[in-house]
Amino acid sequence: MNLLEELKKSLLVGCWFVFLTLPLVGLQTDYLEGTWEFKGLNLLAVFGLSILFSWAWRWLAARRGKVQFEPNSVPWAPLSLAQLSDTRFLLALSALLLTLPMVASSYQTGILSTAMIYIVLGLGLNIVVGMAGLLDLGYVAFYAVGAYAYGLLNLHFGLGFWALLPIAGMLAAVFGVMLGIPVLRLRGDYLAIVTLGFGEIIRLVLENWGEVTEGPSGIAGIPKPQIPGVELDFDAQAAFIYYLLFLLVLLAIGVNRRLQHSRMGRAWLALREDEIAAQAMGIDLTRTKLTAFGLGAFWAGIVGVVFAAKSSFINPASFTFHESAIILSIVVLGGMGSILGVVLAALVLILLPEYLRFLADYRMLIFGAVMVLTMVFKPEGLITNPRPTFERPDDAEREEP
Amino acid sequence: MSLLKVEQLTKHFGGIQALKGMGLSIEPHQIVGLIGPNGAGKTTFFNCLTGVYRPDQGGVELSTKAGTRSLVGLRPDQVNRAGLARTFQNIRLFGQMRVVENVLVGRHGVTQTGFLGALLRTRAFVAEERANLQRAYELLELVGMADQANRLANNLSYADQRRLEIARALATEPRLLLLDEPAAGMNPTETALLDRLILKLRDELGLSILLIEHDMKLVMNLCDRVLVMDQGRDIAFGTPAEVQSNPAVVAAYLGEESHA
Repeated sequence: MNLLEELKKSLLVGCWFVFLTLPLVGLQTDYLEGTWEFKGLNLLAVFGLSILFSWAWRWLAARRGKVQFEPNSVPWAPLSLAQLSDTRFLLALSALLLTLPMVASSYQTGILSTAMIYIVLGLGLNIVVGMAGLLDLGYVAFYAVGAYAYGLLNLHFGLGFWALLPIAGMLAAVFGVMLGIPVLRLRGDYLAIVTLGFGEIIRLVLENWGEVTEGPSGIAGIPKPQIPGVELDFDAQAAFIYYLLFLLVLLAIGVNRRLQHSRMGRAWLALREDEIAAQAMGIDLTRTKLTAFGLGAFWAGIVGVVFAAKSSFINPASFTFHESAIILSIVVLGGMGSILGVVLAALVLILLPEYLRFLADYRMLIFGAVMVLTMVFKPEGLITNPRPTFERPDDAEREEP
Repeated sequence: MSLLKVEQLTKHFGGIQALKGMGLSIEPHQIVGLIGPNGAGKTTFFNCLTGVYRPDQGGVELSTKAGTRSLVGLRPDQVNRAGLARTFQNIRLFGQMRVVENVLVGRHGVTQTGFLGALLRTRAFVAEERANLQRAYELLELVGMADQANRLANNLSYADQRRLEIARALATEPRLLLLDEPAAGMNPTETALLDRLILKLRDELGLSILLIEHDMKLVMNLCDRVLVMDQGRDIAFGTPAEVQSNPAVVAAYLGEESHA
């Protein structure tokens, strides 16, 4: 590219931005005296900055064409994907994570626990959105169902944490299927709108059905999980929940992986790719969609129980659309259908805001910028195409009984 | 006994009568070509057979291992499981999945391990997955694509995408295969390969095939019987030679002399 051309483009961008921002930053009115003042310096700053940014942008865009990423690389990661999934690396990582609660403060344990909650939520939604391609904007409803199942059944019937863990999961799955039935015939935008509405309905019911749900004031004093015969202090309690979540994450990864590479997982993917072709290949759409909704919701229900126990207080404000949006961002940022992608994205989106608290005022600004940049430079998400390769089974082995 | 028997099939969309009483009978091990001018209702006919549309009236009967079965009112997946598989005119592959996975998806209806089997990796599950993969590779070999098994379906050439559609349909173990313009967009070499493949399907796998095609050379070479459609009706049925000399067919394609 020649320099003159570049210069012309940059000048054009600069002028355009000056024009756009003129009434906002270039003119200051004083409505008491009825005068206005021209702020030339502000406009000069806008001009300079927009030239700088446009240059940087085009430099990145040009580079993007030239630099060939390996098909499965994470561009900014210090390790390649092959190294990331190496057994020794995973063992070391697990060891590090397992010793963390013993050495780190309960604050660190706490935020990592939160991140792990979002990993499980992301993995659950990954089944619905990432694999089956059913855009669900009300996923937080199932999280709420799980949390409230624990809060309410414990309050009224004294059921314990361990009993409710599977029950809440099942209950959320039932809610998932209940949402799934009316939306069977919907796709894309229409499905998104209905699921959005469903999420709001659950939240509004929790908020307004005071006699049953305690309304906006929520449920306080939810007991933490107990180990029979062992007294746990505050820190040990936090560590216990941390370990529990660690196990849940492992379980969710394992289950997702196995399902992804099975008959059912392939049916989900086929559904995402082309519904008509999937049906023509003998896939029962009703069953396939309902299992995706049910299983996705199941994980939200389970982790909802853990959330209620961890925070010991829940109210409807924890289950707004904002949460659904974050969980969906995790799935999209990670790369549709990619398990490792979801884990990475959850860590990025949950841990970064915690560690960058000094930038708290700009949090949503940075969040938005990260999403826009990802969609421009890595539109398939952090990890693309997680499909495995297949080898032809050996005929000789097959002969064996 | 015929394999597929269609009688008096009608279908309308609003005020348009797309099918006005179609009839057809296909014998086992037969290749039947379905031809007709654009807009004659060929694809609508396919969609009525495969459950995408529900016909207004008429009967569709497929003879299956468990006896004769009516296909009217079944969903597409049920039609497929009954033994009737299809390909699409506008290719509909699972683009972000690997070639061999596309074929594996086709195995869905003929396998059954469920959720628990997959979770626990039971012996039955592993054996079934293995058999599926074996079969998928066999079918890819049949259509000449085994070396491309691990490519993404989106990245295939046009002719390969068409062949993969056939392999995927075969994976559902059909008795009758419906091909919607299988040679569209192929060059003469690729069409010749397709010609041989379709013959192989009949002679080696014992399948019956119904195909919509505009390539007259292919149709006349390949088909045992040809059905000609015009304006929602079957106007001629017979061997390629018979159909070619049928005045009604000539009129449908070239216009009647009085109008010319």
